[in-house]
Amino acid sequence: MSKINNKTIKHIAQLSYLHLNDKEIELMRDSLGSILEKFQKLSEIDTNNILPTGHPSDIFSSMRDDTESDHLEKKDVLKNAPSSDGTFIVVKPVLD
Amino acid sequence: MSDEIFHKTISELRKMLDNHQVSPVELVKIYLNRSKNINPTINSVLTHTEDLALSSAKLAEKTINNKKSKLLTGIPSMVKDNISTSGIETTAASKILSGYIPPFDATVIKNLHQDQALICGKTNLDEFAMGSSTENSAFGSVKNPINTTKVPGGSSGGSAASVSAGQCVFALGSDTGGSIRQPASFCGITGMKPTYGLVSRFGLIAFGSSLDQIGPLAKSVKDCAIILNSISSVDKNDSTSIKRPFKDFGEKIGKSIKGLKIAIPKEYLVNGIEQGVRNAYEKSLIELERGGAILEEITLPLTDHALSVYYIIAPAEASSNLSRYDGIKYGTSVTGGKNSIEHTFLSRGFGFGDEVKRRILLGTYVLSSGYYDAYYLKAQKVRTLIRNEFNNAFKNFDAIVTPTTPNVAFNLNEKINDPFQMYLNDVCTIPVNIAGLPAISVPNGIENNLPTGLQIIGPRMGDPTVIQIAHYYEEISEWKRKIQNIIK
Repeated sequence: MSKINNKTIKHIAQLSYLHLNDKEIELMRDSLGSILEKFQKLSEIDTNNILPTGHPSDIFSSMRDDTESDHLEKKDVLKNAPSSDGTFIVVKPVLD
Repeated sequence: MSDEIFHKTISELRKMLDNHQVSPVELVKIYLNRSKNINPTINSVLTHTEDLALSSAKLAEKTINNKKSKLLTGIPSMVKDNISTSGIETTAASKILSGYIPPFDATVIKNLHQDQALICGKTNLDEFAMGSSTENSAFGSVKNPINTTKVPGGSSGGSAASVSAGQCVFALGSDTGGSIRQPASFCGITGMKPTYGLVSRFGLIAFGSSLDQIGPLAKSVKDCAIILNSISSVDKNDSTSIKRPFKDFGEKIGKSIKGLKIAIPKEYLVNGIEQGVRNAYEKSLIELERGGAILEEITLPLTDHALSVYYIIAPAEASSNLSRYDGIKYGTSVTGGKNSIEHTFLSRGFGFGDEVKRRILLGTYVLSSGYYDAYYLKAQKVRTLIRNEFNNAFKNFDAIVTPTTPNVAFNLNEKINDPFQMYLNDVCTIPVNIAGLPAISVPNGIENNLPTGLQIIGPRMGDPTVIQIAHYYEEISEWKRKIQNIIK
């Protein structure tokens, strides 16, 4: 397992769509490094032939019928958008 | 009306309301008045919902006059601010959701409205429920009403403090790794996390979806059962929702605990547990034994690893759940950024606090290529082993009893700069979420003028037995009354 350095933090911040300033990069490097070190103990546990648990219920996801049901009004949803035009949300250019 | 009213339980107020000793409108005004007076000191409430509470109170009044009241009709409550309330700002105590007004109610809110509980406010929390002290709120720390130099616990610290301080009769919280039970313990009240799936998560702002569960914080065990009966429902909007196999969460209240087998896991008494907490726990065990329960020490060797499993799985799920905050659809949006992606980077960088950023990064790291197997998949496999360990224990026992936390409420700012020290607060509560079990915390002592808590854990769907044991303990121990005396 690799050591956490500034480059690692910048890489995962990029994957997370998260802008960090230099001070934050250092803060996260130090705290993530020491937290991940504590997790190393898990490697001591034998998990051969053990299936992973993604979810503590015994049920599988329940499905509902594929029929029309109540939905939110567009105007109510758009009230929360920082910028909108008619029935659209306005975004900055996607392509430069 | 004297201060006595602020200690009253749902059942006690039910009688007063139905006998017309007080009306719902009067009651809600008394509570709102107290809440607004106290709030500048403890900061437990982010929004008071006076209009909603008063209009609901008027309807409740009619229902009472028509002699059709339900158990919660006209009872003042509050709701953690990560639970969506239609038309009322819901922030999860994050700058990124500042000003967000949900266009719908969470299912638990619909259920409370149906039973005519009065929602008087939205309570403060650690941002996105990530924390154990309610110091991570973007809108200021919450203070413990029993001693305002101490934290109230977290992340439902605002809910716990508001119940303890008499700003409401009960509150809803959410529990991902102990976020109901730990603050209930720190604030001298009762809090329960039900079996995963019994309460719909629809409308709860998601943190760790396989761990999150909504539950009550209240003044008594019986009150917790009443609230759970109201909020627990099968919901087509939550694919993990399950029908409860019992009718009433409180159906075993009052039954003797004679012959019940209770396990005492020795692993919960190590790792820096405070002496006062240990003493209170040992006294509680004697009282349970006196009631006829059969106590036996057991070993749950994987307990030590639960913290690592949790702090891999919860951030992994959080990093995915929090990817929806992009500064485009709702919430805080910054003005900079030359294109859409840069704008999202900047909005998220500005809107999230340090602890939330830390967990997004941690979660992204353990899910990223090259580390997925070593961290995330490994943690999921150990999760299976922890579940198996509990399942095996419950083949021979009706319940497991532990302290709720290793320590009493600590000082504000004491642990905020050391994330791992903060995480250790949840060492007794986290295993329960990993296995999706029900557990309650009830007051079981006073140490240095601060309350301690007893945690009772049950098997899946064993909620009524957990409540039965907790209620028995509450009745014989009288800590509920004694703790009322130290609440100012």
